[in-house]
Amino acid sequence: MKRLLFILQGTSGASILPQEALDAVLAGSAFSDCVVIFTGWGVTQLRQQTTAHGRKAYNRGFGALRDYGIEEIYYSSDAANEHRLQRGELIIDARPLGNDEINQQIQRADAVLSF
Amino acid sequence: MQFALLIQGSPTSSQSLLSAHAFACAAITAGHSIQRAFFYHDAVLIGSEHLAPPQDETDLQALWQALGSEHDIPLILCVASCLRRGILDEREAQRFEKPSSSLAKGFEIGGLGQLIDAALTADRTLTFLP
Repeated sequence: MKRLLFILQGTSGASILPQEALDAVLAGSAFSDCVVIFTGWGVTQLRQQTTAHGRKAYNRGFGALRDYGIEEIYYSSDAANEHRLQRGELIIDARPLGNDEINQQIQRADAVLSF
Repeated sequence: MQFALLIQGSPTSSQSLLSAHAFACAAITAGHSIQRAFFYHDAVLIGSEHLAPPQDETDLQALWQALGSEHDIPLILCVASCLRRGILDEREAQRFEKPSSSLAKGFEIGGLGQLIDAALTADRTLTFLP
């Protein structure tokens, strides 16, 4: 089965893009092995208390990723430091990756989709 | 080489659609092909029948329509993104009891499966962020 990497870098609450990105990830899981990496401002999506006013708390849906067979969920450790994200704040169990490891994931993927 | 394009930026507040169009033209000129263009997030607004840009501005929709028809490139708009933004084909208009379709010629409404299929079968997939 092919390996599809999703890089999620959209800011939580700034637009509906992160929510639409989650839809794409779930769709991808039906056809391929999926890997998810949160980078840049995307790591802010992992905060439990991140829902913008009037928006759906879409990031609770991250809890369904493993139910869809997505076991590899990562975030950029550099981005987490930059946005002062603590592991205890994470809404799901995700593993930090350094930049070299992120590059390796990109190299291993058959295709990369960024949101 | 066969490319798939994932385009996410709005026609009015992003360079995404212009950049993707320029890339597609350059790739075709260089002998490559575009397997599919998949419009997601605000990029689906390119398929609105009601766009009416001023005459002295680039008509992005016309550019994409011409590219799609001249090179037989499917221009797929994500259905979920479309419904949120008021772009409906005849079938969706009937389903949601709206007075008419708002889908421009040359575009099709499709599902995320078409994006995933494109990403898994094209030689390269390029994302044009908002």
